[in-house]
Amino acid sequence: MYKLMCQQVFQVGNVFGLPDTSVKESKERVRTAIKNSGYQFQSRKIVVNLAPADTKKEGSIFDLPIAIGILINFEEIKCTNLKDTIFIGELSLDGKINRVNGVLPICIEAKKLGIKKVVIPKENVNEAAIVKGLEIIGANNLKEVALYLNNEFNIEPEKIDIEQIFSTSKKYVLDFSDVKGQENIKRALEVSAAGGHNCLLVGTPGSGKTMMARRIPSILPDLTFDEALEITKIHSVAGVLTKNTSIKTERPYRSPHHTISITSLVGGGRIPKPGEISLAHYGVLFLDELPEFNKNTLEVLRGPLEDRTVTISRVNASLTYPCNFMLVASMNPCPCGFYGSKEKECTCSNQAIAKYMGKISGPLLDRIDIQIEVSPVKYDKLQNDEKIESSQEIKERVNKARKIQIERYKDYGIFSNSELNPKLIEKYCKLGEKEKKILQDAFEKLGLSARAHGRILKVARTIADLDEKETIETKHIAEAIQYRSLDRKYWKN
Amino acid sequence: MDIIEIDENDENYPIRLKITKQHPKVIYALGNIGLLESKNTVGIVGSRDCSEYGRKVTDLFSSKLSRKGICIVSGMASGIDTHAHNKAIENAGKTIAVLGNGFDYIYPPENEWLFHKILANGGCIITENKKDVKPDLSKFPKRNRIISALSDAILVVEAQYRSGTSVTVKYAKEYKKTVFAIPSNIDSTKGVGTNRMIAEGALLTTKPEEIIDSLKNAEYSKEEIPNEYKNILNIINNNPMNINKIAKKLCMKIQDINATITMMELEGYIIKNDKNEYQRGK
Repeated sequence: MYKLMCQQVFQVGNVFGLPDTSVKESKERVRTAIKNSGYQFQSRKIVVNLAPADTKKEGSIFDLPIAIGILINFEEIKCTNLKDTIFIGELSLDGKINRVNGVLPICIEAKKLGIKKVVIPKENVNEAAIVKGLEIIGANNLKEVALYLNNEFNIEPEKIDIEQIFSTSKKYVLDFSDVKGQENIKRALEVSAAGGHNCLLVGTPGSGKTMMARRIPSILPDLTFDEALEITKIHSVAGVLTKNTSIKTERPYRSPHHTISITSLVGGGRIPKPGEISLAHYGVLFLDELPEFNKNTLEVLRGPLEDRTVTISRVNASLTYPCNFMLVASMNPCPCGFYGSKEKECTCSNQAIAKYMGKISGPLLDRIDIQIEVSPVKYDKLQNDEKIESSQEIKERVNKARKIQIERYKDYGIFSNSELNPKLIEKYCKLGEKEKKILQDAFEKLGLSARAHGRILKVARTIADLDEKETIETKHIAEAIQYRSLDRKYWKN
Repeated sequence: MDIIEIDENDENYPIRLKITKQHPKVIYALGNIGLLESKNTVGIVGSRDCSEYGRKVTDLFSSKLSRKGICIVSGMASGIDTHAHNKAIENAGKTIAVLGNGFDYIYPPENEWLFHKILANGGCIITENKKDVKPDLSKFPKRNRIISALSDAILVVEAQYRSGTSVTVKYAKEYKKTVFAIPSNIDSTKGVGTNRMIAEGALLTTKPEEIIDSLKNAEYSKEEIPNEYKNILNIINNNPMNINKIAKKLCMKIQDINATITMMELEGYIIKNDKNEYQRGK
């Protein structure tokens, strides 16, 4: 929050206080906007200072406060009691107040500083209104604000019913009831969604990997208000909130194309903006055809997947964005796509397959809890009309399991089993003698890599939660082992 | 825990020991004396000062044998003995420690934890010595005859030239027990004894299975196939099948079949082929 001082000194304006280009340009915008709003722009020098003077200011959101400052100075606005009030907005030349990005985080911060009232562009009111305890005034143009401050025009503070927004059920076009067969994959995705586990689908072309991945949003657990607020903040900063959204009520689902650059994936820019991984915060990041991604691009995911935050440092600023997302990836088993297929012979040499698989590095693979192989469904199976479970039914189970987790981890600031650290794994994923023995057998017989250990425990915990069981039982651990079976087939290390 | 005194005429006196000529008149035991009559026992012995290789091999053999329900007999000395006992316990197996001193002393002192661990996990500790007999290294070779007598087979992991281990092996030959030895590099001082034993007729072994197969009572491990396994095996028969198809044919929930399939795979009833299908195992 910056304080604004305007003082009349001779002619022509100047803006001080480390403004960037868009702020410097604002003096021209402000001058024209004031004129076009029907006020006389008195010709004398005006100094605008943005305090504190040593912080860099960026963006066009200072237009409105500068204009208001000047109008007060011209005594066009008589009200001077503007303590505890902030103004945000970009002016266009005709005096209209344009929509700006990042209003929500500003309002949240303002509330913390004890601000009572915010005047913002009309188009931003929906997102700001979710901050309780702030008087949100949405204005269309400069004239309106001036009249409002002079008590000559009334603007009703924007009110929004968050409960209602949250309670309206969402409709998904894509539903799991469209998917015939593939019960084991659906189950794997259910486990993934319940525990927030990263998931890799390997299968021949046309086996339905992408189709099923697209349906994941329909079974993701409901957002809590805190999660929703955080998501909305990031989307507000990135400027991807649509006009009518006040708060995100759905978990984001991002599926960037494989040509994506490192910067747009993790975030960046002169003043770093959030990238795809942060936009997928508390949601899903779907990477289709994983080996097609640039290897370096994939490797940068390693840190964020572990830390669940990403710090982007540039000369101008170093910012940390959260990126607690669930990674879902799909890939073919070999370059031609038909390795292990019953229908078509695979034409790839062993080396070619190894090279293809080698594109996914061990450390990255390590961070994927669930790996499962998708087989295509036969035509006759597609024909039958058996009743298939709908997304809603799956979602209910997922919700239940997630609630158990939130309750269990409320003291640790985490929401799901996938976020467990080794210490918490030890505490909450205890195994009995019998279960330990199964796990040990699995490591020897199935040739699992040592790194799979913690992953299996976390997944087993989620399966037990889905079963609403306090302790991890043999069948839970056995099922969890099932989801690591790809290790030995493709990555024989 | 009370010390149990077993007289040679007592019905609890282990039969394996009784049939040897030099058996002690009385043995003292702590813990689960039922283990003394275990169906299958293997003695794992080796040098106190073992190498990393020796440790690794001991861990491997002891774990695998324990998991097959075989009772591990050893002398609770440092080195190979310690690892043999410890792995047996960690794998929920059975183990017997034979001491060369009385129960008033724990030797070596640093193995006190192991002493308690063995007892706490249902193992058994025996000695032919009265409570107050002090540990005396020169007497230890004598207790090796008990280890030999109690074991159906002896596995020597690492032994230096002319060590206590060779005493155990000497007795084992006398009692007509099979002696297995782990080969070492020819330039390893820790393995001179074992390599020599192999040259003199001990069986060279590299796999725990070889020992398991040699045991007379090996057939015990064949269990009844559980019903749910049978159902799945019947369905698969000679026709490799996808997991979803199996679930459908049996009308089972996918989460249950997932667990069962994994267990069957672990126990070797079925294997997964390249085509993501399950078929009967060997």
